[in-house]
Amino acid sequence: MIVADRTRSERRDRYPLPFTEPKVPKAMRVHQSPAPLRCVTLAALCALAFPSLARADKKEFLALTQQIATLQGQVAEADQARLDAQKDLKRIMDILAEQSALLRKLQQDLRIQDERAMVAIKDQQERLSEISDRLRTSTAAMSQPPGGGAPFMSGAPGATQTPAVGGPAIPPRDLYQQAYSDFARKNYDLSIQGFQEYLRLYRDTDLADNAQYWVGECLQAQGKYEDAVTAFNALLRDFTDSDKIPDARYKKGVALEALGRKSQAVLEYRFVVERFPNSPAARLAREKLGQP
Amino acid sequence: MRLSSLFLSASICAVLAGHGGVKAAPQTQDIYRFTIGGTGATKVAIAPCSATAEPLRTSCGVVREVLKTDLDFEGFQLTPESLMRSLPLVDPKAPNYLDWKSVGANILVTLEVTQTGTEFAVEARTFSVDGSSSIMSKRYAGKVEPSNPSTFRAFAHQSADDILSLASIQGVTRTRLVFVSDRDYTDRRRKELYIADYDGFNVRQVTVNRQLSILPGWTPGGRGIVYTSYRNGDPQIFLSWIFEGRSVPNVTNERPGTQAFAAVVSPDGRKIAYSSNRGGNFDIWVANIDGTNARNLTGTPAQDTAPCWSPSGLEIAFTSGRSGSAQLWVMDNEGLNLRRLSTVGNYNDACAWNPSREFAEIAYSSRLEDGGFEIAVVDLATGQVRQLTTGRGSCEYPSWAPNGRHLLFSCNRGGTWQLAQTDRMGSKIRSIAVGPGNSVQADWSQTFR
Repeated sequence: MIVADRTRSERRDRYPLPFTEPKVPKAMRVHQSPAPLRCVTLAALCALAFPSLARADKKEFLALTQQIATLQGQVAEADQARLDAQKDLKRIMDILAEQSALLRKLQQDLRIQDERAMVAIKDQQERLSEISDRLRTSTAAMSQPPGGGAPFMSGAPGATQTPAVGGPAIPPRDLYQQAYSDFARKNYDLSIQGFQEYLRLYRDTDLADNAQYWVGECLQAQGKYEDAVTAFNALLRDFTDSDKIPDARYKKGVALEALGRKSQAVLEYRFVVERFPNSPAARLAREKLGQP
Repeated sequence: MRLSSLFLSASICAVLAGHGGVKAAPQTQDIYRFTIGGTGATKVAIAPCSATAEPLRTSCGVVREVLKTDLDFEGFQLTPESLMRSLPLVDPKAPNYLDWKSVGANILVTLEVTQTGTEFAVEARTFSVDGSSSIMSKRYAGKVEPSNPSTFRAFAHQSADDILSLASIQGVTRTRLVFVSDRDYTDRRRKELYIADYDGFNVRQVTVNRQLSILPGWTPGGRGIVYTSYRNGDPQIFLSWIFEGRSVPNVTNERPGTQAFAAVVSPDGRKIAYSSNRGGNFDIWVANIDGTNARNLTGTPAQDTAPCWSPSGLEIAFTSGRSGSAQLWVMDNEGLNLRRLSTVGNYNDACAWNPSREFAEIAYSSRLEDGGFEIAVVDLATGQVRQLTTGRGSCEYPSWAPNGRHLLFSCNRGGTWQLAQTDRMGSKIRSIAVGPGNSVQADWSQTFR
């Protein structure tokens, strides 16, 4: 089962736009006859039109001819300049077309890039959080006197955290993952205990809102919908900037619906749709509301 | 990282409470202990089989060999044949415990094959050598052709499962494997599905589509197989009820031009999760087992494939390209609470969630660098990843035994793809001979019989 590397293939398809020299229309080529030939033709015409000039001083005639030739040269130069300007204009138009094609392509890519950036940022945040947790654990371990018993200090000033009764504090990530593995094994009571212990000890860590969410999930899985609503309310109240808000709102709605409180559930679904319209929870909420 | 130094050690204390059998075991209150693996492991002796008549000798040999293989597979330490050769002939009903103590056995199993008219029977008796007492006596009988070894194999498997239950292990000897093979075709465009016993015996063909039939998965009851078929051109999900001879094509009702593949049935048997591009690109969809009420769970521009269910049915792991490379992600069964699971390896795919409540872990195919794929397992309790296989070529598509103690997968170490099994720590790998050609994408049935 191979997942196509979409970006790579798209990059491969991003060829430079073709650029061709503009073709000059036939009508313009009339004005492009060689300059010396055009001078001779004009001189002959002048001789026919003004016979008195033929008798004029040869010097003046030559000067006049030179003047005409100069004028003709200037006309030719003007023609050439106009041609060059047209060429430039065409080139600019082509460049513009190329740029706007690139822009469209970039806009398409941006959506995917955005998602990847979000994932990368989240990864980094999780890693930072893990490092921070480890650091905090190590600091606490170092601050404990030999024989243990010193309270586990959280990162928040003034906050005192107590290690689990009967042993040293379990590092946050271990406690969290153990509680999650209990959820995965359907040991919901154990899982709730684990996540509540996590919330008691490590309330200021990045995973605290997730732990609160899992408490709600466990209760929901057990069919304890009233308690699940309380747990999701705790998340909505205590972790207002959590990325779990839309999911928790939706899940709260599902629990309310299971309790027969349909009108309250509808309010939750509407909230998700209006406030987080692009979230996966909004898609589910729309289905619940019967919206397309 | 190969953790071959780690061994499986399970110390189980079981109290006998009158195990039922056709012939009742003598009542005893002995406490016996099974320690599997490591120092102090319980040593189990399988005494030479006694045949009441000469023609039964071959069947006797089959029963003993199968029982030995089954117990060895679960990690029992068996008394070597070389030690047993010096012992006098055993009385299968009343062994001399001193003889068996002398070869270091803690548990003794005697086997007897008998014939009464047209009925054949295997009597398996288990004794505690340390406690000088009988633990269990069971009789497996039926009217069978003595020339058909598969029936005697089945008796031996049943006997093994009963002995394993004494050590509180749910045996998997009567489970089945389904796999994809090209054995009947010379081109690569046609493959069929085959089933076999858990040890590779009794191979039977189950599809005759004469097209590509791939990615099979058992229904939880072990009576149906869901798979991806190219019979109608584009890949579609088919559901074959193999014992009823009934097949449901295009279960998910894909329209012409859309594709669906890699279906897996939920643990309760009511839903299927699969990958479909009907929404524009490949997403994870979940539908009822009859294909109704299909819902897109992912709905992102990224490619999402290869779903697997958690044993609770509340979560789904899958492969997604959303982070730039194929990685494992987990979400709940509605598509919420999404998070990335795999952090090491540049290509992680084909997840398989351990079905046992004892172990919370997910196996998958992982490519760490530019080489081939290997089987890896991530422990959900610690986040630690252990690599189970290593070597030339690749090993892919892991599938768990229903007791969560073994993994099945396919490897191409020698040029062709062959099935292999290992314990969950990867300390003992055995190849499973299922016949000629390439054998891949095997799935282990989840039913204990």
